[in-house]
Amino acid sequence: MSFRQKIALTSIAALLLMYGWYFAEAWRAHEAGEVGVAASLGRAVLAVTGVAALQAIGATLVAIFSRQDRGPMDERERLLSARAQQGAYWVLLTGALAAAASGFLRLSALDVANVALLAVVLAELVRYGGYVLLHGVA
Amino acid sequence: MLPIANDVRERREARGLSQSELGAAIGVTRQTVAAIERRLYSPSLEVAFRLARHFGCGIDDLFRWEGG
Repeated sequence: MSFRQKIALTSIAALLLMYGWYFAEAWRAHEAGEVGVAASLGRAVLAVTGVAALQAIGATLVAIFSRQDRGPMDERERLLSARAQQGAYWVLLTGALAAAASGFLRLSALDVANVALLAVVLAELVRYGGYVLLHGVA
Repeated sequence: MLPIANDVRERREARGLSQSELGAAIGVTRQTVAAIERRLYSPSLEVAFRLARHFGCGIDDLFRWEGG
Protein backbone atom coordinates (compact mmCIF):
# COMPACT_ATOMS: atom_id res chain seq x y z
CA MET A 1 0.00 0.00 0.00
CA SER A 2 1.40 3.39 -0.98
CA PHE A 3 2.11 6.32 1.31
CA ARG A 4 -0.84 8.31 -0.03
CA GLN A 5 -3.22 5.33 0.24
CA LYS A 6 -2.35 5.09 3.92
CA ILE A 7 -2.90 8.83 4.33
CA ALA A 8 -6.30 8.47 2.63
CA LEU A 9 -7.24 5.60 4.95
CA THR A 10 -6.36 7.65 8.04
CA SER A 11 -8.52 10.47 6.66
CA ILE A 12 -11.44 8.06 6.16
CA ALA A 13 -11.06 6.83 9.75
CA ALA A 14 -10.95 10.43 11.04
CA LEU A 15 -14.06 11.39 9.03
CA LEU A 16 -16.02 8.33 10.16
CA LEU A 17 -15.06 8.80 13.78
CA MET A 18 -15.71 12.52 14.16
CA TYR A 19 -18.66 12.96 11.81
CA GLY A 20 -20.16 9.66 12.94
CA TRP A 21 -20.22 11.13 16.42
CA TYR A 22 -21.48 14.50 15.14
CA PHE A 23 -24.39 13.09 13.13
CA ALA A 24 -25.34 10.63 15.87
CA GLU A 25 -25.57 13.59 18.26
CA ALA A 26 -27.43 15.68 15.67
CA TRP A 27 -29.95 12.87 15.17
CA ARG A 28 -30.38 12.43 18.91
CA ALA A 29 -30.98 16.19 19.32
CA HIS A 30 -33.40 16.17 16.37
CA GLU A 31 -35.40 13.28 17.86
CA ALA A 32 -35.43 14.96 21.28
CA GLY A 33 -36.72 18.16 19.71
CA GLU A 34 -33.69 20.15 20.84
CA VAL A 35 -33.10 23.25 18.71
CA GLY A 36 -29.96 24.57 20.40
CA VAL A 37 -28.09 26.21 17.53
CA ALA A 38 -25.14 27.14 19.75
CA ALA A 39 -24.70 23.53 20.93
CA SER A 40 -24.94 22.26 17.35
CA LEU A 41 -22.42 24.83 16.17
CA GLY A 42 -20.09 23.78 18.98
CA ARG A 43 -20.36 20.13 17.96
CA ALA A 44 -19.74 21.04 14.31
CA VAL A 45 -16.65 23.07 15.19
CA LEU A 46 -15.41 20.20 17.37
CA ALA A 47 -15.99 17.73 14.54
CA VAL A 48 -14.17 19.88 11.96
CA THR A 49 -11.19 20.57 14.22
CA GLY A 50 -11.18 16.94 15.39
CA VAL A 51 -10.96 15.69 11.81
CA ALA A 52 -8.13 18.12 11.05
CA ALA A 53 -6.25 17.08 14.20
CA LEU A 54 -6.72 13.35 13.56
CA GLN A 55 -5.65 13.76 9.93
CA ALA A 56 -2.51 15.60 11.03
CA ILE A 57 -1.69 12.92 13.61
CA GLY A 58 -2.41 10.14 11.12
CA ALA A 59 -0.30 11.75 8.40
CA THR A 60 2.58 12.21 10.83
CA LEU A 61 2.47 8.58 11.95
CA VAL A 62 2.25 7.32 8.37
CA ALA A 63 5.20 9.53 7.39
CA ILE A 64 7.25 8.14 10.27
CA PHE A 65 6.50 4.49 9.53
CA SER A 66 6.27 4.65 5.71
CA ARG A 67 9.53 5.66 4.10
CA GLN A 68 8.65 5.00 0.46
CA ASP A 69 6.94 7.28 -2.04
CA ARG A 70 6.81 10.34 0.17
CA GLY A 71 7.62 12.67 -2.72
CA PRO A 72 5.09 14.50 -4.88
CA MET A 73 2.35 12.54 -6.66
CA ASP A 74 3.37 10.91 -9.91
CA GLU A 75 1.22 11.01 -13.06
CA ARG A 76 -0.78 7.87 -12.20
CA GLU A 77 -1.54 9.08 -8.69
CA ARG A 78 -2.70 12.43 -10.09
CA LEU A 79 -4.97 10.56 -12.52
CA LEU A 80 -6.44 8.39 -9.75
CA SER A 81 -6.93 11.46 -7.56
CA ALA A 82 -8.74 13.26 -10.39
CA ARG A 83 -11.01 10.26 -11.01
CA ALA A 84 -11.84 10.02 -7.31
CA GLN A 85 -12.62 13.75 -7.22
CA GLN A 86 -14.86 13.34 -10.25
CA GLY A 87 -16.92 10.76 -8.37
CA ALA A 88 -16.99 12.94 -5.25
CA TYR A 89 -18.22 15.90 -7.33
CA TRP A 90 -21.44 14.09 -8.20
CA VAL A 91 -22.01 13.16 -4.56
CA LEU A 92 -21.46 16.79 -3.57
CA LEU A 93 -23.74 18.04 -6.34
CA THR A 94 -26.51 15.64 -5.32
CA GLY A 95 -26.07 16.59 -1.67
CA ALA A 96 -26.20 20.31 -2.47
CA LEU A 97 -29.43 19.79 -4.38
CA ALA A 98 -30.80 17.75 -1.46
CA ALA A 99 -29.88 20.57 0.92
CA ALA A 100 -31.64 23.08 -1.34
CA ALA A 101 -34.68 20.79 -1.54
CA SER A 102 -34.77 20.43 2.24
CA GLY A 103 -34.90 24.22 2.45
CA PHE A 104 -37.91 24.31 0.15
CA LEU A 105 -39.52 21.62 2.32
CA ARG A 106 -39.39 24.12 5.18
CA LEU A 107 -37.00 22.12 7.33
CA SER A 108 -35.19 24.13 9.98
CA ALA A 109 -32.01 26.00 9.10
CA LEU A 110 -30.12 23.56 11.31
CA ASP A 111 -31.46 20.56 9.39
CA VAL A 112 -30.57 22.19 6.05
CA ALA A 113 -27.07 22.86 7.37
CA ASN A 114 -26.76 19.24 8.48
CA VAL A 115 -27.86 17.96 5.07
CA ALA A 116 -25.24 20.20 3.44
CA LEU A 117 -22.59 19.03 5.91
CA LEU A 118 -23.54 15.40 5.28
CA ALA A 119 -23.07 16.00 1.55
CA VAL A 120 -19.57 17.37 2.17
CA VAL A 121 -18.66 14.42 4.40
CA LEU A 122 -19.99 11.83 1.93
CA ALA A 123 -18.15 13.54 -0.93
CA GLU A 124 -14.93 13.45 1.09
CA LEU A 125 -15.45 9.76 1.87
CA VAL A 126 -15.99 9.03 -1.83
CA ARG A 127 -12.88 11.06 -2.71
CA TYR A 128 -10.61 9.27 -0.25
CA GLY A 129 -12.27 5.88 -0.67
CA GLY A 130 -12.20 6.14 -4.45
CA TYR A 131 -8.52 7.02 -4.39
CA VAL A 132 -7.73 3.94 -2.27
CA LEU A 133 -9.88 1.56 -4.32
CA LEU A 134 -8.78 2.82 -7.75
CA HIS A 135 -5.20 1.79 -6.93
CA GLY A 136 -6.27 -1.82 -7.29
CA VAL A 137 -7.76 -1.45 -10.77
CA ALA A 138 -5.70 1.24 -12.55
CA MET B 1 -6.05 -5.35 -19.12
CA LEU B 2 -5.05 -2.48 -21.40
CA PRO B 3 -4.23 -3.07 -25.10
CA ILE B 4 -0.65 -1.84 -24.85
CA ALA B 5 1.74 -4.64 -23.83
CA ASN B 6 5.25 -4.06 -22.59
CA ASP B 7 8.50 -5.77 -21.61
CA VAL B 8 9.18 -3.62 -18.56
CA ARG B 9 9.15 -6.50 -16.08
CA GLU B 10 11.50 -8.65 -18.19
CA ARG B 11 13.98 -5.81 -18.75
CA ARG B 12 13.83 -4.72 -15.12
CA GLU B 13 14.44 -8.24 -13.82
CA ALA B 14 17.23 -8.79 -16.34
CA ARG B 15 19.01 -5.81 -14.78
CA GLY B 16 18.33 -6.99 -11.24
CA LEU B 17 16.31 -3.89 -10.38
CA SER B 18 13.45 -3.78 -7.91
CA GLN B 19 10.25 -1.95 -8.81
CA SER B 20 11.16 0.72 -6.25
CA GLU B 21 14.60 1.24 -7.79
CA LEU B 22 13.19 1.52 -11.31
CA GLY B 23 10.47 3.86 -10.09
CA ALA B 24 13.01 6.10 -8.37
CA ALA B 25 15.14 6.15 -11.53
CA ILE B 26 12.30 7.35 -13.77
CA GLY B 27 10.38 9.46 -11.24
CA VAL B 28 7.32 7.35 -10.45
CA THR B 29 6.23 5.27 -7.45
CA ARG B 30 6.73 1.53 -7.02
CA GLN B 31 2.97 1.08 -7.39
CA THR B 32 3.01 2.81 -10.77
CA VAL B 33 5.80 0.55 -12.03
CA ALA B 34 3.77 -2.45 -10.83
CA ALA B 35 0.64 -1.14 -12.59
CA ILE B 36 2.57 -0.62 -15.85
CA GLU B 37 3.99 -4.15 -15.67
CA ARG B 38 0.52 -5.63 -15.03
CA ARG B 39 -0.95 -3.61 -17.94
CA LEU B 40 -3.32 -1.81 -15.60
CA TYR B 41 -1.86 1.56 -16.49
CA SER B 42 -0.49 2.96 -19.74
CA PRO B 43 2.15 5.57 -18.94
CA SER B 44 2.36 8.98 -20.56
CA LEU B 45 4.76 9.50 -23.44
CA GLU B 46 7.14 11.22 -21.05
CA VAL B 47 7.35 8.21 -18.70
CA ALA B 48 7.52 5.86 -21.69
CA PHE B 49 10.53 7.82 -22.99
CA ARG B 50 12.11 7.76 -19.53
CA LEU B 51 11.68 3.98 -19.38
CA ALA B 52 13.07 3.48 -22.86
CA ARG B 53 16.05 5.72 -22.16
CA HIS B 54 16.68 3.90 -18.89
CA PHE B 55 16.73 0.54 -20.67
CA GLY B 56 18.68 1.91 -23.62
CA CYS B 57 16.07 1.02 -26.22
CA GLY B 58 13.33 2.66 -28.25
CA ILE B 59 9.76 3.08 -27.12
CA ASP B 60 8.54 0.64 -29.76
CA ASP B 61 10.98 -1.97 -28.46
CA LEU B 62 9.45 -1.62 -25.02
CA PHE B 63 5.76 -1.14 -25.83
CA ARG B 64 3.60 -2.75 -28.50
CA TRP B 65 -0.05 -2.54 -29.45
CA GLU B 66 -2.02 -5.77 -28.88
CA GLY B 67 -5.50 -4.33 -29.20
CA GLY B 68 -7.91 -4.99 -32.04
